[in-house]
Amino acid sequence: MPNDKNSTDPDIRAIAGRVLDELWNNRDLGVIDRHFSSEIVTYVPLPGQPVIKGIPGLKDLATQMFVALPDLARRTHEVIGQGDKVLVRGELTGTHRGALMGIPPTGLPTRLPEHVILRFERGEIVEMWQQADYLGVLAQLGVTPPEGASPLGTIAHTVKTVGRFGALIVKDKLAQRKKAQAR
Amino acid sequence: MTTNDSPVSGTAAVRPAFTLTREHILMVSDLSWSEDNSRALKWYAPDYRCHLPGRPVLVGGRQFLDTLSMVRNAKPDVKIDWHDIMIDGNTAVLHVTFRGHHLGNLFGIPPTGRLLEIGEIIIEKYDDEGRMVEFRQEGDYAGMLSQMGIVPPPGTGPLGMIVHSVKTAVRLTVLDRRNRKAGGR
Repeated sequence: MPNDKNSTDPDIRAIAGRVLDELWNNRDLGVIDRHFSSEIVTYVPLPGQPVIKGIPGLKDLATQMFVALPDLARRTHEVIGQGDKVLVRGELTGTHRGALMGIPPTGLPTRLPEHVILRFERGEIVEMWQQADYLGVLAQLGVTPPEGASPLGTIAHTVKTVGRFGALIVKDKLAQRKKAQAR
Repeated sequence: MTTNDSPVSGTAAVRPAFTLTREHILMVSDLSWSEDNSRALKWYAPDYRCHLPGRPVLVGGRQFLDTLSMVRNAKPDVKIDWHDIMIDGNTAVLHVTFRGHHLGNLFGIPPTGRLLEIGEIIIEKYDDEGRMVEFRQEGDYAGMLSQMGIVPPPGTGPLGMIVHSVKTAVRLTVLDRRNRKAGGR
């Protein structure tokens, strides 16, 4: 429930940590309705992701993450606050079982450390900025060539990756078809 | 008996002699990014630890300042756009964008000449003498590689990825050769 507390209330620290925990660990999209303003603006540095305005886009993003990483879990490491803003440092972990950043499921474990700043107005979150190690996740999934790869090594890596992803896309489609038939 | 006398940010029972301010943070940043950044060394505690994404932890100010010098050589016109500084006890959050042209070797990538804009959220922790003890950064490095033209634009199909990779490899080889000729490292 949105509360009427003013924006400098120390309670926004507690809310900030709880909101992210309930959203990701309890899979509770209702958290977004309860704690985020309808005018929420979200900045996520996902490759190709524009600024998200409003609640529906935020829910879509969360839903995509639940499909990509069905066993998604989140941990908060620390909460830092001043005035109407709170930073939450944490990490998301999960197994890659659905398309993530356009990459077909690899079944590999992923870990995404993140720094998230939340700005509150009248107890509601009105702006959210994330910086996170998406490049690290791409490396965990074997997308980026190993550091120090020569130009030829980079091509070899891409050709291999494209072949691997092609096979994974086919595998994913077959699995989905099987699931649909079983229904 | 165990006691824990170390100050915990925001909750220290005794007010430390040093109070972290925006001016102090900017002073340490300015010195660290200056040409002779050895003047900044005294503002890093001996056991300073720097956590950069995907890299081993840097220990001590010297290693960190050398890394900044490397970045400064690679992007001689680098400027910091300060969006926000939050201060909570002896801990600060820096919300910034680094802007600069890629004119020298950066983490093994030859100069592409492109403008790089990297959004970052940084956490800095200071001790009671105003020296930095911890630095944690998350930034948009996937975006940086995209700006350099290293990773293909989002939504590129499998064949597009190979074409992009071949083009990138050729371009980087040419740039690398040019850079070596020009005497760059």
